[in-house]
Amino acid sequence: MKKLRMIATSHLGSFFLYTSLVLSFDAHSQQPTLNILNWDDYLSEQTINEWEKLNDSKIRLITYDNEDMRDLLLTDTKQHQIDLAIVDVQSANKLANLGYLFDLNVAQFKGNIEPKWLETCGDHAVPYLWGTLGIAYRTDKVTSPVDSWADLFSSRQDLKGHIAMLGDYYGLSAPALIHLNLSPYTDKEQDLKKMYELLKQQSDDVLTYDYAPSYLLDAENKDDMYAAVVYSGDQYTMNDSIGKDVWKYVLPKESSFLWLDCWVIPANSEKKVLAQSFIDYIGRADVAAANSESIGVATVDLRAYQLQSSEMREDELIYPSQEVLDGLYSFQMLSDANIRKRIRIQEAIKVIHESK
Amino acid sequence: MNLNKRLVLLLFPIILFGYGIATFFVYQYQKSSVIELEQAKLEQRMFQLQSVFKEESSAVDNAMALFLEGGYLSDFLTSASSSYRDIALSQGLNVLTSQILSNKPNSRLSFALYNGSGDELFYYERSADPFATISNEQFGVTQKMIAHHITSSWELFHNSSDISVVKGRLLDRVALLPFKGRDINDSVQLSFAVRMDQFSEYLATLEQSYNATLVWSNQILPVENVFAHSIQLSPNQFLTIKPNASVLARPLLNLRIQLIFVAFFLGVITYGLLIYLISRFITAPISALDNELTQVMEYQKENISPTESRSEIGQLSKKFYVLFEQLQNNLKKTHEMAITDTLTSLPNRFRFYEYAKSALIKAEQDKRFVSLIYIDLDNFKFVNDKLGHEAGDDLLCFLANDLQRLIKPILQSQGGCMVSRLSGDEFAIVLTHKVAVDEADDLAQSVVALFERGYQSDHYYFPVSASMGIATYPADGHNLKELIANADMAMYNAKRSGKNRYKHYSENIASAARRTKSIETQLKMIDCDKEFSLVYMPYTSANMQIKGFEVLIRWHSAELGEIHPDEFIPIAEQTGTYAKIDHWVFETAFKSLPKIRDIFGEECVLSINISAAELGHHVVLDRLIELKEQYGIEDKSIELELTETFSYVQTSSVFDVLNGLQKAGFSIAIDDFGVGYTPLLHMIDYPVDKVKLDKVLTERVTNPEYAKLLPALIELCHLQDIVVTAEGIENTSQYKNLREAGCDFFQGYWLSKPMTLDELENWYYVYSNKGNL
Repeated sequence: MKKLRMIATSHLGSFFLYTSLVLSFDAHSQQPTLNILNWDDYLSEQTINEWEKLNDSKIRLITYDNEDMRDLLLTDTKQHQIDLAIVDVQSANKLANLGYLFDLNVAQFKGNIEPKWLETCGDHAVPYLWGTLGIAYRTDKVTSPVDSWADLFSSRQDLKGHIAMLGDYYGLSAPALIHLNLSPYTDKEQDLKKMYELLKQQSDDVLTYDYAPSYLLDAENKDDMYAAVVYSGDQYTMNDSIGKDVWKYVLPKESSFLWLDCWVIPANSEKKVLAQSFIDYIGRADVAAANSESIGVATVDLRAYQLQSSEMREDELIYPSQEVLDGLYSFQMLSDANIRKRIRIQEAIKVIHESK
Repeated sequence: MNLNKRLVLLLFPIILFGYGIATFFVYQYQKSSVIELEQAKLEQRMFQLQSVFKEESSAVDNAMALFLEGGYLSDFLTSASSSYRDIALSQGLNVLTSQILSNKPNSRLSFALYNGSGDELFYYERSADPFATISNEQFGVTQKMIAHHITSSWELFHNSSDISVVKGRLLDRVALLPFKGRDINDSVQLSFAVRMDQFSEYLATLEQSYNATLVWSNQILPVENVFAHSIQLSPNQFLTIKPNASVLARPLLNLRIQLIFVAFFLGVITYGLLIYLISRFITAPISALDNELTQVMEYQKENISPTESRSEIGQLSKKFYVLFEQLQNNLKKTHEMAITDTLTSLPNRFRFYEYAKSALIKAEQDKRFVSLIYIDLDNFKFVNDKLGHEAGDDLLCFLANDLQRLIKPILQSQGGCMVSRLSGDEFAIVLTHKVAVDEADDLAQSVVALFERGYQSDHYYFPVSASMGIATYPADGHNLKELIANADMAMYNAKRSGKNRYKHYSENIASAARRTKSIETQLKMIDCDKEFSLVYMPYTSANMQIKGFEVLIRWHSAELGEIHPDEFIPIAEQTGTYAKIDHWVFETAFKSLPKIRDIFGEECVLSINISAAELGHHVVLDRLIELKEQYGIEDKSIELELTETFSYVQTSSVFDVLNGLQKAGFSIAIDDFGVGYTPLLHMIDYPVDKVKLDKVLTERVTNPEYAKLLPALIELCHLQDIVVTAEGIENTSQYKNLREAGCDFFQGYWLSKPMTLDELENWYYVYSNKGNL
């Protein structure tokens, strides 16, 4: 899960900018170009290069750093440029239900993908990588570890003004709800109100609601961020962007949740065949193994897992033990009304934060 | 209370009253301005309020316009219902409201979308409250528009706690144009509502600051109070603010405070200035004058400083100056009078002491001499008695002038000299000089020279002279008291030494004075019977018969030995002990008369000297008559001898006393006739029975050269029925000459020296046996 480099921090701004850029793209392209909507740093160079050679095609990566933005793009009926996209499992199902996705008839991809992942992604999506939501913190800035959600919500003195929260409705709400010992899927008004009060109170301590790796690339005060809510694997990008190996990823004590990303082909893509060939290519065990190891995120392919180095496989932050996995929340769809409420809360929190 | 304090107290109420009145009128005038100003301010703020309202309410108009232009509605309506559709609209509205409310992040702007059935399709609210739902007002507008097919609406709500403006549209669901159809289900209703936070806040501020009553009305309110203002917020909504009257109190209070402050400030300045000016130009001069007067009164200054100022104080000052000058002059005169003798204009005794003291102090420093010359006129009493006091005064004045004239050259050459009149006929000269005696002597000599032939004034000739005593510092005394005493002593000595001369004080004079003093003392406490004795000197008639005795007194003092009457009689006369002596002499003589007559026959007479000094008093007469009766003395038994000096003290009383004595049976004889100043006239006027020729005259006239005078002299006396006794006969030849010249009685050592009473009988026995009888 990486970010959209070309898109600026403002959601709306990025949205409009993005559209125009993509439209101007194909006009002077001679080779067939596959436009992939992806997080930044979420597909290894090697994979891209080899596929390009193999297919005599070009891959153009269009990156995003906010799931809501991505969904707006994928549901915009006027655009036809995205050929392939990586979406979280919930969106994959929802987009499929709304008819925004090409039916991949996934049943035919027997391969080696772990069945539970296959099942979760549904018929219109192919599993790619999985991981956890956790906290990354600067080991050189804080004296005691930031290893629980409570650390982010209890006004820890050394973190005041140094916290980065996720800005999308789920990434913002889930940690707060888990900290409040409530279900991250709840749609009870009173639970959401409690969550809102907590977030409102926390907003004093928050440095930014932008995706932490993006913030570190753009902002001048990179060293002001001491702790951030991130997806596993983000710590590598973050260390790269500040040139120091100081960010440490931890899974919060209170529990967290699993995520799973899937490949989807938008229904109005004009290069569905090429896109499908890429999905086939990335589904090869050797390719998947190398790609996964290259970016440091767990693969869904059982054979690919076996091909990976023991170092990778034994890294509990990448492949948590079954015991840990059992304690994590898994995927569950939220109702539209629930989403709507959370969006309003997220917007209000940002209004409050901006007004400070 | 002094003038300054009084000034402070007097000015205070005047300034207070003056500025109070002025402040009151200024306040009355300014009050209406303040009210007008407040009204203008209110209008200004209401105008501002209206602007805020327009600006804030315009948000709904702008939002509606942008929303419809942006195509959000068609996107939403054509998309399937999903969270993506919601997010897209939400994002669109976010962009839109952020543009409209870019500078008001906290403003609450809401959007509601309803279908023709009145069901909510979407609700968006930009606020800090994510749980907020559509407001009643907005919902009401929605339902009303749907119910009544109202295509466009703009409403202001002010009844609930929040003031809000709602703008609504009822559109055709497909064409998105104002709904004209019949089936309401073909329509959508959308509305924007803005909560008028800024307006409310501003209104609350106004309400609070004016403590005002807010009145919402459908039409503009009639003006019932000047201090109120209405604004129109919508075609049929007016807001009127009626400030509480107390609101005016504050600016008016401020005005009052300001005015009072200004008045106080000006008052203090005026007060201070007035006090300064008045004290500087009025009370300070008075105070300065007062100080000067105090200094003058305490003798620190002679007079106040003269001033040229024409102010009243200056005039007062001038008058004080003149007054003090007059007082000073008077004082000077008084002082001069105090130290000046009024008759002669010479310095008086007081001044003499003053001057002499300072002269002595100066002389001590300068190692000089100071001589004190005491001058006493001889026989001045005679001038007064004989010529009258006017003549006496004339003499004193002339003499004063002469003395001044005498010291003038000394004053001119060396200073240090002053002549003063001490009293009566006493004068004194103080002379400072370098050489021990000469100058004082010269001066004294020139004073003596003034009297060489008596003293002559313009109108009179005075038979007076001057006796002077000189005492010189430091030889004759170290202080004034000593010097005065010594000069006085020397002066008396000069007087006793024969008058018209001066004497320096000397040890001799001092011892003479001491002797005089002891004689005086002895006389005062003398037991007459013990120390005095009488001796009797006989005289004869032409046939050598003893006719009487001159009684003479002898004093044998236990302390001082034999003292001659010539020495102690004058002292007795001066000290007043003479009466005692006289009385003793008479009494003793009267007692001895019977014994003497037993020896020398019943016709024997006693001659007793009587002091001329006593003749002025009738007491003498009475006492003698009393004694005569007491001892049974017959008339013509006692002869009283007067020395010639009596002539000078002759007065009518002396004359009376002499007549009285003669009538009482005493005979009167003139002693020492021929050597004194006895005018011939006295022998005619006075009741004289006998004259006694002085020893010197006796000696002279018995000389053959002058023998021819003697019979004439005696004849002259006889012609007046005055018998003549010759005194001091020393030999028989003299006796014979005198007897031939017709002299009646004869006395002298030729006959006998004076004898005591006890010796008389023996002497008479011898005398008789010599064959004189």
